[in-house]
Formats: sequence, structure tokens, C-alpha cells
Amino acid sequence: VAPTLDGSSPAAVYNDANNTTTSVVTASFTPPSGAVIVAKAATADSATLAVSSITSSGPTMTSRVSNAAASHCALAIYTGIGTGAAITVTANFTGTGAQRALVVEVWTSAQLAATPATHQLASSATGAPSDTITTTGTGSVVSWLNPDWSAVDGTSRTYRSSATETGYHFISLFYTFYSAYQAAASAGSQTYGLTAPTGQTWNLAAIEIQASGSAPAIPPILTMPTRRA
Amino acid sequence: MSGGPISTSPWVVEIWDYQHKMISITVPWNTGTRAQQGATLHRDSGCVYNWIILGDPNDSTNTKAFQCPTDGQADSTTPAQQLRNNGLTTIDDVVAVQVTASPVKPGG
Repeated sequence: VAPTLDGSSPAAVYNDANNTTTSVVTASFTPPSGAVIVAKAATADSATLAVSSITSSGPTMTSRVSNAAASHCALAIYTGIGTGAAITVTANFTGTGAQRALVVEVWTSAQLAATPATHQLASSATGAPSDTITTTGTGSVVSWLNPDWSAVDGTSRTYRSSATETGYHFISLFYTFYSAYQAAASAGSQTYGLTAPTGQTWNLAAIEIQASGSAPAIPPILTMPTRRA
Repeated sequence: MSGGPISTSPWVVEIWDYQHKMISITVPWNTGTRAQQGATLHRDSGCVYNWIILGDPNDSTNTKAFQCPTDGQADSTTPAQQLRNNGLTTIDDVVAVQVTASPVKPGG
């Protein structure tokens, strides 16, 4: 069974004051025991605000991938495992201030590899965001985010690979925030990002969420010699 | 990437649930005086979230909660005066704290 985005997922959180560094926190939510919690945070400007950590009031959150290239936004993805208890998730920041965002997704029928596949890439020129991640499981999901430092209006936005949006926030002249996920039916290279709008100063980061109980893509072949009577 | 406060009206926040149903708040404001001009609240029927929350959603004493339309209801408007009564005079007051959504009112 492929990972399923659970109804316990809390609402996205945004703070659009760029003169403060206060944390952002989700409303209390209850991820089922064993569910994979994916927390994705971003700031409008890596020069003025970094994502210092993402924590929860319950399970430990582990940093998986981050990116804070100059003249770009900053971003980070953390993961945790639900225990069945109510929790909140908090994104913490350091710097002088910038707009910031936090999206938390709860995935059931899901698991994380011991070292989950991740990838990140910051644009070297403006354009439409595109990156690839190499997944290792079958029936996985790739969860990703893309803050755009050029703050291009994303009203007419188009996602690659039929991704489903879990967050979008546009603050003219400051940043545009995108969060999404997409199916990765087979192990291998998965393209993610958007084809529109173009002109973005983007940075992308992604993580693979595997189907629970998923086997390696190529299982070992075991043979036993025939025993003579 | 710019410095300074937000400069474009309206301020819009759209939040999706796991079914990709959306709840939103739209606050137009005067770009000269920065005075907010009320709020429009939208909720897709079936969205798991019912409230837009300004401030920490886990601290009912310091949040401002706006109830969005129920299933089948049209968008609702909150007059500027009502926002002012809640201490939200300018757009800077509105964006001074975080915004999120919740199925329930904080403390409710």
C-alpha cells in the first residue's frame, strides 16, 4: 500500500512579519502510532533568516536535508515518527527576520529508510524549478518544497509529475512558497518541481517516503541445491 | 527578497487540508495609510479546518480566531471595525503574528 496523506496533518503555518524571528508552531494534532511526520520549513531570505531547527512536543525530529544558498530562500526538511499522542511541531529560526513557512504532513502506510533518499538543489539562474531525486523503494511518495526568492506570482502554477500541492503562499516582492508531494511508483530517478511560473530563483529539496513493508527494488534471489536421496 | 514591510494589497493566506480542500482569509488594505479594510473568509465544503487563527493556536488567551463558513455557505466578511475591535488596525497588526488554521477554536 502506498503512503497516504493522513487527515491528522495540521494546517500550514505562515508568518509574514519580516522584522521578527519568532518560531512558528502548528495547532495540536495526533499522528497515528508509526506514522511518518514530514516537516518542511522555509524562510524568504537565507541572508536574514535561517531555519535553525524543527522540533516537536513529542517525538524527536531528525534533520534530513537543508539548503541556504546565498541570494536564495532557506529551507529544511525534518522527519519524526508518530506515537499516537497529540503533539505540536515548531520551526525555529535565527537571524534578523524574514517571512517564514511551515508545512507538516502525516503519512500512514509509510516508513523511512534507515537513510532516506533526499536531494536538494539551488538554482544557478532564474527559471522554472526542476530537480531529481533517486528513490529506492516501490510505491513511494516524494515530498518536497520550493521557496522562490524572486517572488514570482504563482497564481498560474503548474507542477511537474502530477504533484499534489500541500502549501502555497505568495508575498509580492518577498517570496513565494510551494509545498507538494508526488507518487514514485518505481525506484529510480524522479523529476520534481514546477514548469510554471518561470523566472524563479528557486531552491528545491525532497525526501522519499517509502511504502510500509516495501521490499528493496531488486530482492535477492535465494537458491538451494537439490538434495540427493 | 525585499526589505521592509509587505507592500501589496490584498494579503491572502490559503491553506489546504489533506483532501486538497481549502480555507482562506483575504485582507485588503490601504497602501497609503496601511489601514486594513476588513476580511473575507472562505472555506471549501468538507474542509477539515473551520477556523483561521492569528497567533499561537495552542494559546487561547493570545490568539484571534475567525470562524469560516460552514459547508455550503458562501464566503463571509468581517468588517474592518470588527478587526479593529480585536486590535487589528493596520495590515502590520494583522501580519505581526503567525497565521494558521484549525478544526476547532483555540480553547474551545
